[in-house]
Amino acid sequence: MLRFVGRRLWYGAWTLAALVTLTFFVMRLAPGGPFSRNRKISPEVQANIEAAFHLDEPLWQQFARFVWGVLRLDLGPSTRHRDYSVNDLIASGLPYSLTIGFWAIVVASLVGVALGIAGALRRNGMTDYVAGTVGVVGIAIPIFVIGPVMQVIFGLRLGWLPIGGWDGTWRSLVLPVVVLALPNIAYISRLTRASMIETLRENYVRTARAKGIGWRRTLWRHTLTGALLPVIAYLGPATAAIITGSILIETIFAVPGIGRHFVDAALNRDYPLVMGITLLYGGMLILFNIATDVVRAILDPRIRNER
Amino acid sequence: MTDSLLSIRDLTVRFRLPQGETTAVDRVSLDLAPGEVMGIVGESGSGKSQILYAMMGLLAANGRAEGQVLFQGQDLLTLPPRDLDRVRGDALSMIFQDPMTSLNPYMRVGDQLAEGLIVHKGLSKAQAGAEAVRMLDRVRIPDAAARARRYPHEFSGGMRQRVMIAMALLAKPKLLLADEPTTALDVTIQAQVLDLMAELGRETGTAIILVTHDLGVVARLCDRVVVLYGGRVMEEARAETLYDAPVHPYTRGLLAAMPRLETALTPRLGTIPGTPRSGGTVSGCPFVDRCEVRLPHCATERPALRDLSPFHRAACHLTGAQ
Amino acid sequence: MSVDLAPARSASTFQLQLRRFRQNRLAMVSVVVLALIVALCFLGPYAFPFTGEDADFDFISAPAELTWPHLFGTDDFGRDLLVRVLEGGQVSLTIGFLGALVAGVIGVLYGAIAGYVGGRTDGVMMRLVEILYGFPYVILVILLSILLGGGTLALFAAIVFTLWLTPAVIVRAQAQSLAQREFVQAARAGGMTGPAIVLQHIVPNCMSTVLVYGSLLVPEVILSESFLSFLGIGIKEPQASWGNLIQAGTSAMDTDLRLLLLPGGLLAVVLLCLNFIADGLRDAFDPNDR
Repeated sequence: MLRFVGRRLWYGAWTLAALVTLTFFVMRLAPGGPFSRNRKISPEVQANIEAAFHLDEPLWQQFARFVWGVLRLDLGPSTRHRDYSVNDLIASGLPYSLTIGFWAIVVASLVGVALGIAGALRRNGMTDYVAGTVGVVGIAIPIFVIGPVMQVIFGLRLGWLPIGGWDGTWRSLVLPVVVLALPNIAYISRLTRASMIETLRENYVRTARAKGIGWRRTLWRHTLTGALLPVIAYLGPATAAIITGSILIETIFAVPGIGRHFVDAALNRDYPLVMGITLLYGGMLILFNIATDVVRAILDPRIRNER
Repeated sequence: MTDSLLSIRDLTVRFRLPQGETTAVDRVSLDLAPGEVMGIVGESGSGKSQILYAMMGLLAANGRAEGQVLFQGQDLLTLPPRDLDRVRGDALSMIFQDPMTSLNPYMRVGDQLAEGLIVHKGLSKAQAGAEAVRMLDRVRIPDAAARARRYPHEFSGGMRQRVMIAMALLAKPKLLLADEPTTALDVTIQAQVLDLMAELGRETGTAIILVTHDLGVVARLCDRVVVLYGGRVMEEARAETLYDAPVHPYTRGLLAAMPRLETALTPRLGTIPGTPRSGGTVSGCPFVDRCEVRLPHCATERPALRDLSPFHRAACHLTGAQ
Repeated sequence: MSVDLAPARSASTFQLQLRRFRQNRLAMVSVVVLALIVALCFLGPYAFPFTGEDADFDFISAPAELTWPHLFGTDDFGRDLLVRVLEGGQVSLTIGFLGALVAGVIGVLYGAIAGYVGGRTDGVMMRLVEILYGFPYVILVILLSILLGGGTLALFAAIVFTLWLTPAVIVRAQAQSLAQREFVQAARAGGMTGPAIVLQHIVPNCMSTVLVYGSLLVPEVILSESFLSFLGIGIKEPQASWGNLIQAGTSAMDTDLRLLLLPGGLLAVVLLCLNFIADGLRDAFDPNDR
């Protein structure tokens, strides 16, 4: 198992390196620079600023400087938010993004799995229809349509919840988390339902029923493991979906997280900040994928033996 | 029969299908004494497995059983799920066709065995585990104590079926239902597994119903044989009687189709022409289309199951005429 | 997979599958609704004496009163909302279908070649796919559209580049098993060249799978387009797309909901239809996968 994790980490590190390198050069090759769009400044001032950020150096030197920075965990100053370092910006934004992302995954998994199991156990029952509708709506209607509609309903019309911003209480968390969780609830419940139905048809579940150990034990000990393995496998991609979604959520609900930073940084060619957030997202994604694989290997002895 | 362990009366199993309703088992009645070994023989689709599933309450969701299945005085068909669970896996257990998929791949083999004892006999985990190892040893799993901590995919097919046998016999059931337990296995180990099952059944005094399409298997192991066709009992007899003096044309056809050393050398291996009819309710004898000796009223009149001697019954219009 | 049939029989299978699809009422209704929306988007604007970029200074922020000529009113530049939404639909739908087509073709060819050739080539090709899969989708698509200088074409290329991976993986698996089949072996023995086998035997026999997954690509591309336009990375004002119209709608939602609801609703309906159609196709062509 340790070797398995080690190898995955090793591959992950290489993927991350490839991602970061690609991002670095793509950003530099993209037209425009951090200061080209600014209000008119004299060429000397611009040259000075660029020198201060080492943008006058050859590309390979800048890259070496960047790699050295990553190794020292110092991502340098932001070119747009002049007085802040990238570390500062990430440190200030990450808690918001993590809080929302964490709860969105928790809500999506719990609700999605519960809906999926209920639907599979009572096919074509009431819950199944509700879950099916949630599934279709959640998958088809994008976050940036549902989000604003929820803001209008719960924020503006009913006045129950703040429409955005961050007041430090759970109330400002509800809408962002629910909207971010929704597509994943939809996906997870569909996945759970399908795999649950398939597992219930498995011969070994029939064996368990034949043992007369009661439906509760049959469900918990013999059905859930098999049924939830595909769901667990999806949690890796789900993290990616949550990251993508969080960029929208932070824009819609005016949350000062790192997702919005990323878009702004990319648009304004804030090289250091883009690199920092790319590194962070890439790293999180890879770690989560590995964690997912580890959990699957713990639950499924066949996966464990394969590697 | 007063000493019967199992008494099935008019068991009928129907399935709802998109095309309509189909009858898989049609008014089957059987009796079984304690410790007796009965074979149910028939082609695929004859409904033989569905009899077992109906008894175990394991019919598919679109299936429904009628009639009566008295097991130790309780009607299994009307038993509430909770009470049925007290019987299943304890006094009544079952071995399935496909050992490769019938064990839970995510659970250690020993735990899967012990589970039944914990639930039914209230044993502690350690006691049940020890029992499980002892049973694995008896089905000749080498190094049973270590093997019990392994997962099913680390066992071969024959070993898995022996594990299934161990699991089924662990609670010392009064009746063991075996649904074609060896069809998925290599021919070389089929006999070995079957003999093991029969031997252990004798030791624990367990009655066995063995469902198979292999008459050779039945000949070796069974006291009594029931021949099933189109969901109906065609003939029922002591094993020797059935082989020496089969009455029903279908039984004769089956016996002729059986590959034996002598027949393998003859130019033509006997087969029954035609294909078994599936589904639908027949007014006459279900075998009529393939029968070589049919009478005019065979297609319209259902032959009754008649006693020919105390241990021999058959459902054929010809038997009345003879 | 249902594509387990020799090529000679696949025509009749295809008809059977098509019939199964036509019997799916939800999917058929979706086809009709989608066709109506497409027709409306591409023909509707001709019914009005102005385009979506013309400002009508007599009607600025006109409400939705269903009166001629501004049926659903205008935005705060005096541009007709309905016409803008329809024109935005042209952009979104074109990118959606064209993008799915291009991504599908690239993916199918890539997968078919990798699966058919096999061996080391397959290993290298799939390793590349694996690495690209490991990249966070948003980062890739945002970076690419920026690299290509923004605008519609850059957006299109970026989306296509990130979405051809899934069809490639799926087709590759199928091509691998097809390469072992008798009729492919026979073709090879008969002296048919690799490219010809890929195009004439492998690709046609993957078609129903491709159709199923390709139909899922369309909503994905549309979603990506509107997602990026919503963030201000994709299609930019004054050109309209559903994404940037929705974005404009959200900034005015406290005063004027129709700016959000009209493009948002239309996008939602289109995505729903596309999903139902994809589901219907999957049920009809891939019955094992329910």
